[in-house]
Amino acid sequence: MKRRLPALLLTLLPLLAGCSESAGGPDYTQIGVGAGRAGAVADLQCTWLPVMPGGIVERELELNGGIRARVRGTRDGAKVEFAGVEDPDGAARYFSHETLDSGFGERIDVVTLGGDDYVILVNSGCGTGVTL
Amino acid sequence: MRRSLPIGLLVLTISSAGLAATTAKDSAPKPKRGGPPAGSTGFQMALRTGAQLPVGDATGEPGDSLSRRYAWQWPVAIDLGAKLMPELFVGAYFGFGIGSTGSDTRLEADCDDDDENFENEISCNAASLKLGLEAHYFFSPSARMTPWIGYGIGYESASAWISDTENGYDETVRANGFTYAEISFGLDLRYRIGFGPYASAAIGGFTRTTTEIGGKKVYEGPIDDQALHAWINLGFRFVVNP
Repeated sequence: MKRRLPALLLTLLPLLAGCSESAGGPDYTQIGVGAGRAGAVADLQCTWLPVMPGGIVERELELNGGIRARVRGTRDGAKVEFAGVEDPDGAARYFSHETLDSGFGERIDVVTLGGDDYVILVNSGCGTGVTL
Repeated sequence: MRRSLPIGLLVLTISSAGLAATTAKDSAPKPKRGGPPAGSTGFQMALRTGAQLPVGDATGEPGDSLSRRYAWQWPVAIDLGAKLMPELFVGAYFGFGIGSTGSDTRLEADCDDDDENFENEISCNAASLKLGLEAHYFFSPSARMTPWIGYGIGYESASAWISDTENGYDETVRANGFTYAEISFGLDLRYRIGFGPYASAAIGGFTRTTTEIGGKKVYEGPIDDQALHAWINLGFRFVVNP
């Protein structure tokens, strides 16, 4: 039995050499949302999307300028709606999981209820000190 | 107050059945030596196990079938109650099932542990829970073999979760709802302990769902698009006081 062990190891060596060092796992997806005047620097508020079937995440975010965002995400994508802006329907967006995974970012120009021009940035992933 | 009525009734029923059993035992003819025990009344308990298969839809969302969320499970259930008469059992059931996550291809890929370090950094599991009230009717309660049918209603819950220790991520999705009808049938072989095969279909629907990420609840609310599903159970049961 012992004599067979080196032979077995030699046989398995090429297989072991091809092994991954990471366990892998899901592609975790985040959506970041931030708002401010054009050119201003803001922190994006981050929401993880679920990975399980039937999983739902729902968050209310307070952004700059009195703008509020409601993020409802599933593993298939995220819907972002806004309040505190003049045209909330025009500002609402849906981003699919694939879109968010591809490293997407969108700037949405809005006018706050106070009459100020603001930019909302919706981004794959999150960040601090992002220029709007 | 109203909610406690079925439980109160059940306790009353079990107590009266116990009393009736004592009286019945005094007057009942003794069973033949070596023959099956006389048709019993009073306390009865059964333990069921086997396999539990998901059928139907978890919600009305396209493609959201129960089997996509949950694989088959290993169930263990207890029936506890009383036989009001030899033909009729009334009681409560409590059961749980454990298994893996379902056939969803994306989740299957997510749950694969790709490295070969013989440690399971990514695990995906599922469990279910059922409890309710039930009644069984026995066709030949004094015979060696008695076929029976049953009906029950109750509450049910099912969960699936992923734990990824490498990335420090865990998520649990739980769905709760009602079992509108647990229809069951089986065949008991009656000795001092009864045993025999059984099958059941627990038809129900989820009404609420909860998602937790990293131990924090990120959603709890009603399921807008509800659907019907069933847990089909096939297995064996063991009966005390058959």
